[in-house]
Amino acid sequence: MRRIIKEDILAVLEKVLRAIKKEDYSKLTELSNRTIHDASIFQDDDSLSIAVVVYALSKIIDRCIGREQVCPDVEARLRKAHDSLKHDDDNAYRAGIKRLLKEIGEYDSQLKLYIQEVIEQAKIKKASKLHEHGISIARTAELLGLSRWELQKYIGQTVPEVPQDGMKITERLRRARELFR
Amino acid sequence: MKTLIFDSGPIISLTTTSLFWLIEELKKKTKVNFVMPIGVKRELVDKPLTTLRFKFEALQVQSLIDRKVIKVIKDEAVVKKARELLNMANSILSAHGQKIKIVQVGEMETLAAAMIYKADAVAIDERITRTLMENPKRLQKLMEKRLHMQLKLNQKALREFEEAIKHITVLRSIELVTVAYELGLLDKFIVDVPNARRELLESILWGVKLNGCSVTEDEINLIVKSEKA
Repeated sequence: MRRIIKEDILAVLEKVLRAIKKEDYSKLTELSNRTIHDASIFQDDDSLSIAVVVYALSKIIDRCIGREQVCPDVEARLRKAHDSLKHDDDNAYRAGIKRLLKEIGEYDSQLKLYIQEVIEQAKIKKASKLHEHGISIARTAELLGLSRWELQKYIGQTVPEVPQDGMKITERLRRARELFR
Repeated sequence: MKTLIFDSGPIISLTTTSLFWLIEELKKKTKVNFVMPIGVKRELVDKPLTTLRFKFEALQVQSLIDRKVIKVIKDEAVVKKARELLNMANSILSAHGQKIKIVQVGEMETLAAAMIYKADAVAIDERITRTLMENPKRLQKLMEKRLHMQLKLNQKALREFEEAIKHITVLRSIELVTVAYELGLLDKFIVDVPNARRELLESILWGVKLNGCSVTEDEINLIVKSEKA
């Protein structure tokens, strides 16, 4: 793993652990975006998976609080993943994150609250962030293993509007009319 | 015969807005040849058919292919050209010594097919690919703003990419539905409400926007304004 990615993931994990300790769960959503810059540039699994894990975690905890249920105890797992990474044991870190993702998925299926699974939802959310950072929909769908059908619809309804800087609409319309004349 | 090459985006926007039937009507009325590269078909039909979600949408697209409304091209030359374009496009910007992979091969197959088959236009709803083609410096600025850092621009790759795609006209589903509306293909939806024509036009434009066609509110207002109530 590149040094820059490792440092950023470690910083995120430390902040996530602190937020969980203080029960400041609202911070988790914001922290899930901290590796999006690295994910946009390097498009590596590690930056993407930590973003997905932290976001999914924030949603699961949110749901548990909303239903007055006990939140899953993930602190030990996160601490272990952090320590593995700190000691440059990348494989152990990755295995830990993979296990955590699986556990979140299992917990989510026990809750059976939503039609859309929390992991899928987290992937879509992070994919739309990547797209906002300048990566095409097709490429982000490919990176996160999502369907383009699903992602495009979500992006159409959520991503903030950006001024069009290419061809003017009047010119594009003129060409369309010419084509279908 | 004129040719329009489809990327996945406009087909998705039109299908999810329940305007998919317009493609067949446009073809009947105008005789424009509609084409999609095999990579686009894979994304729109083959992959969703292996899952439960969007299976029906995939079947709708396949039905148009079966009825020869859209022709699928499987051509090694297109795949090869797409690879070249992909390498160029994904070498234009870099950060921390890493080339940023902005686009994916399926999108480049659409452009490659347009080049090889000398198409009159391509239909792309996606903002990033279109900005890369029409205003790459603007894309660089947008990415720099989002990433809070300066990106390195590879002038050579940019020049090669611009040169390769300079004759390609990009249309979006927003222009396709506007023309379809102007051709009267949506007249059956002019109903008994005040400003019926304008309401109809506005509804289809917002429909495709909310289903993923990258178009601004100002652009929609401009089209709607030009329509008499």
